[in-house]
Amino acid sequence: MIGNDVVDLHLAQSQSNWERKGFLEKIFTKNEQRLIHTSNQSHQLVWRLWTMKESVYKVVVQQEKERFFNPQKFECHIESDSFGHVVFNGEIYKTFTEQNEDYIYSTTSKANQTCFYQLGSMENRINTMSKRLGLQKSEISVRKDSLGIPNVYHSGQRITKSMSITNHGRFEALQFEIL
Amino acid sequence: MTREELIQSLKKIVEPYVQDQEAFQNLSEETDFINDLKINSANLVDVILDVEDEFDIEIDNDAMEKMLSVKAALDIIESKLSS
Repeated sequence: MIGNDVVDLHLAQSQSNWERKGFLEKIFTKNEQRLIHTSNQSHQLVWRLWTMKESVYKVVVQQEKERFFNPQKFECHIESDSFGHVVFNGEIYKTFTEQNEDYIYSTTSKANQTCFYQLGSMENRINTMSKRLGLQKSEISVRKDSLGIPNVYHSGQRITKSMSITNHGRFEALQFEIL
Repeated sequence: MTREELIQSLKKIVEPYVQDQEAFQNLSEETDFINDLKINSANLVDVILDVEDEFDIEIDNDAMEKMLSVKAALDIIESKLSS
């Protein structure tokens, strides 16, 4: 299963005020709050932890087939600028994060699975996928189920085992694993 | 407060975070904050904090977990107001 999440750091600055009273307490565990308060790059860290939680949440939704909103249930552990893991219900999900001054992008996969990903400035989804898959644009589509989980269809047949799409501001990323 | 009055207060709260105005115009109890109104999931926290301020209630994590739709939000607000 695949999950990913991107945050446009500039948009996040205007869209969310994480310094608002009560905001961090709703999302982050005590340990995470301590990390944020002692960091000299708090803004970057808030959104790094957020993308880690969101990417793992997207995997959990595909597994449990149920949506919910409880970011504190996802406890983040940072290992390096790129690597980390998230504990949810006693299970460990490894995460990989790419970050620069414009965006933070985190992704997770429970097992070692092959997938493709594209991170770009609003690049057309279908274009990206048709190139990656070597299929005609007109023959592929992305459909979301009632939980909002996307999959790629080719001539009406589902061809992905798992897929995750994320977009925020100037950035969009998608990952998928072929059936 | 009637259910209809609650919906109107909730509408005012969510408006600044809505990214699909058409869905907002057609808002009903069945409306989903994320799938329909396209509210950014980080802004869902703001909705919850605004609801707490507006109604002077506390929404714990168990209640927050379900707060994905107008209906769920109304049910939670009503049960907190009556307790």
